[in-house]
Amino acid sequence: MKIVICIDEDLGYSFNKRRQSRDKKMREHMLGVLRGEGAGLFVNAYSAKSLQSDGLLSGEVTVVSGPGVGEDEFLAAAEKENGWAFVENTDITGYLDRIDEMIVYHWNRLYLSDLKLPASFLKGFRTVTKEQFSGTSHDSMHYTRMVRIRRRTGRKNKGSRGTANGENR
Amino acid sequence: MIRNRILSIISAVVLILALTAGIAFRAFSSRDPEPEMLDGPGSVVMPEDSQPQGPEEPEITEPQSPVIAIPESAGAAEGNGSGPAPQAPELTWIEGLEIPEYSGQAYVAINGNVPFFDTEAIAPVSYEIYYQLDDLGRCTLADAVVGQDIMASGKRGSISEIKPTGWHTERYSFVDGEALYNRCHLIAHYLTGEDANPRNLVTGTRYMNTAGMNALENMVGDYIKETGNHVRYRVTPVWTGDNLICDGLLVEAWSVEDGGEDICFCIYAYNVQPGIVIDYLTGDNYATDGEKPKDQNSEPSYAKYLLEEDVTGTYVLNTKKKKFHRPDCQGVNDIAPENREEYTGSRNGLVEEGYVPCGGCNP
Repeated sequence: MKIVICIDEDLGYSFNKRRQSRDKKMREHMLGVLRGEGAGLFVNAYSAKSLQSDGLLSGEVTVVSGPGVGEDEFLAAAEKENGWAFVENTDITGYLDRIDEMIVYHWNRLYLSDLKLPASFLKGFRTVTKEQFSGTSHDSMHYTRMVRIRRRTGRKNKGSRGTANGENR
Repeated sequence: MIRNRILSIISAVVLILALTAGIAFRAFSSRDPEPEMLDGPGSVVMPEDSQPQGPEEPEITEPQSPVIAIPESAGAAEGNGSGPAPQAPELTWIEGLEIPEYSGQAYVAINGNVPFFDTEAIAPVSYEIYYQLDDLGRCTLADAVVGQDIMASGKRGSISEIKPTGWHTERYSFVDGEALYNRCHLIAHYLTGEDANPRNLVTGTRYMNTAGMNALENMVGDYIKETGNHVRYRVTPVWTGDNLICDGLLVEAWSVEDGGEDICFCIYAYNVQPGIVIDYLTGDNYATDGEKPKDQNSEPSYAKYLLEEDVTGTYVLNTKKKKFHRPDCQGVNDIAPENREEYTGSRNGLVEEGYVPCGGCNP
């Protein structure tokens, strides 16, 4: 699963089922990155409305919404279509193990939060790309592309210590 | 031209009076129809038998124009020190307020995170009101609808001449910036540009000011800056008895134009500082680990405790944390049985043994 998420200085990403903050340039940046890769973005109705108000509800955005649609169903839809899920007001605690890649925007501010990314979770990722830019209402923001660190589970035979049949060289 | 201007001024005055009187205005409908599905290959069709959680399901349409015209003179301020301030209304929303004991979080949601004020009666017109101090000289209430037109346009001026009730200047090495107390704005300078207004400043701990108030002020201010919308914002200090230091601040906020979709909270920020015991009656303070304040002009409060007239009472001790409580303090329920001990005797005797009074029940 691939997600785009915005966090504050306390690793918070949501408060009272709402986003902590918003920034039009940050959203343009996000859509620009995904557009460049030909990737799709999946959002719920809450995110769709604010994207629309910013004039950014473009073709690469899929709104997973409608009567009876759970607000977290865009996550599964994104996973199924190998797209990116834009997480703003959804508790992703139950999805953490399935996340392989993240685009993290850091507000460089402290906000109220009741949903946070666990620090131990972030430690399981390595940074691929990092960039600083100025937002519309945020003087300095950070964009970070992260991928999960895959640890080898099996032991490979080191040729210098012995051969596959156990004979020493 | 002049006639139009007079009409604008009259409408602004009427509007503010109406808001104060609680007359319901409706800016525009925030009840939205179901969101429209996008057509095209990227759309995902979903079933139709449940409602989403959280903020109301939004429509994906442009908002309608406000019913009420915004007057040219929006941004009126009352009680900002330049003239007479209105007397605070009866603070019914904090009567009987049940606030959980501080448990390591700088703030806690109250009333399900929904403001106590009537969210249907808010017009998107900026104003700010700082109410009269009470008989003890304490702040009572600050209320505003914050818009870009009244947000601070420059750096904050000096506020050092203001000495809010309970003001002390002790410093501790382990406190961020060292000063235990800040002159804490009820409504931040960032939001309304208020500087040295005694009706807007309380003695607040560094912790409350940064971890609590700054976090929510950033959230509100950045939202207004980004969207140009308005936020109803009300801050009520919560006082116990004749204490000169408030227990905390109740902050309610609601984004007006989007019907609370982005900003909606009712937060209580604790006026505490980890590692420091505060006497809320006076503002005296001391570190729980015995570190003495750096301010040489103030007599260490620890010594004051020892000099106080001794009393005899029954206390519950936490022998591990070297803390003592009133027997009816909620904190005693959290003490592990092996660390709990009942004590009847001299209070100063306990302090001399290194015990510190609980900051919650203040034994």
